[in-house]
Amino acid sequence: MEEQQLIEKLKQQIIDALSLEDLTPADIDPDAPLFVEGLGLDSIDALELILLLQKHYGIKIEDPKERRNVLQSVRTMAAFIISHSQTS
Amino acid sequence: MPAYLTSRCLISPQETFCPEFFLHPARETHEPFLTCLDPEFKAFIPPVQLRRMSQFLKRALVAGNRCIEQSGERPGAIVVGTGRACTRDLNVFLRSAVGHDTDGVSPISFINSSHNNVAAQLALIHGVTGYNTTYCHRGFSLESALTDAMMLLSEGKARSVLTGAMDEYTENSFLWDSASGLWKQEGISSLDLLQSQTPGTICGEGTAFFMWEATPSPRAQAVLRHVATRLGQREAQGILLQQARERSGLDLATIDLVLVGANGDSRTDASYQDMIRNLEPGTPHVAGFKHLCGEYMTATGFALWLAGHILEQQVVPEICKLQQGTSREINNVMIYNQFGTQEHSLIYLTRS
Repeated sequence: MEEQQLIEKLKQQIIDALSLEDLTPADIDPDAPLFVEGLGLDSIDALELILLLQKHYGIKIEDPKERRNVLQSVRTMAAFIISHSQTS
Repeated sequence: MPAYLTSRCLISPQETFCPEFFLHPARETHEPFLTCLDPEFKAFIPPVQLRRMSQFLKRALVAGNRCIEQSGERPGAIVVGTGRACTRDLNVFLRSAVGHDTDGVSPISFINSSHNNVAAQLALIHGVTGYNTTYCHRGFSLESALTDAMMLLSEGKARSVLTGAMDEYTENSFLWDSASGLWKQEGISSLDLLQSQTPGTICGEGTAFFMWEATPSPRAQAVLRHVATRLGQREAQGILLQQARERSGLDLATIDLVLVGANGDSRTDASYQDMIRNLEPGTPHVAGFKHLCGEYMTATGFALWLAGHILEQQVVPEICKLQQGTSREINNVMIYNQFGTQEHSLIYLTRS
């Protein structure tokens, strides 16, 4: 799957997982920070996003430092999924 | 020691969230359940908070917040009663836990699945650092919360106590209770429920909140004098009445209105006929309420809200009347309820 396609799919999955009912995929900037600024998510949302990666993409991130890097934006999430699929 | 009711709020299958409730025609269903008419939650809870809340929690926070706002006082304690708590979210959480072998369970469904979530969230929102507890005592849940509240007030441990009563209809809980024959097999109009002569009743749900204070004030809408529960068959009713006479000075001859939890179940409604026979002939009005809210473990929350409404307005709504009494003023109200065949409760209120 190409990065852009994956980004669009991820946006919808994030909206569903976090019940962001007032948002559409078009409202989410793929490069905007997910936490504090941008979508303004918090630590509970971070756990939901980790579960999203586990549930939909079979990826477990054990290292907290890596989680921080992966969950910076929708684009970093997509890049991580792609790199993970290439290495596994 | 009595407790003084200073505010109340109810979300139910009727338009009770709207102050002009009885100006509306009563809502009727032919389904075997009555579900709540919810307010527009977005008008009361910020969207950021709303997105993580279950419907159960949304109802409770809207009703609890309104109750606190109307009383004008931050409660010193919060005590909630719920028969089954947030069953819907508990199901989601358990299915998720089983499906993922407890690894990868959503934190939001965990938060929403805990039975004491409502009391805790209200305390966080309003900065209530005092006593906080939740009773899950089936058909006695609200009564347990009220008893606790009265004790807190009488012992001076809180100046005011917020109590809540809530249960929700879910497909699963409906099926569980179907297995024990709680619901009617045939279709029936909910408004004809109290005249029904067949086994079973219809399922309901509701969320009610009440603020109680230790001392009288001009804001008081009613006075809670006595709350009691008793497990047993029909003899339980006599014991409850005897206790109320001895402990709270209840005099049946002075009761102006009895709110009975009759639910159209031919197997249990005889209890209410027994109660009516115990009363001074012709004097009290007798009214029912479960045709408006359905049957659920904290349905006395609807009755308590209705009692407060009647004591304040001095009018028994026509839609509730089962027997016209001769009392012109409504000063003393008794609520008698039975859940299932075993759980009997009595609540005695007077005008403030």
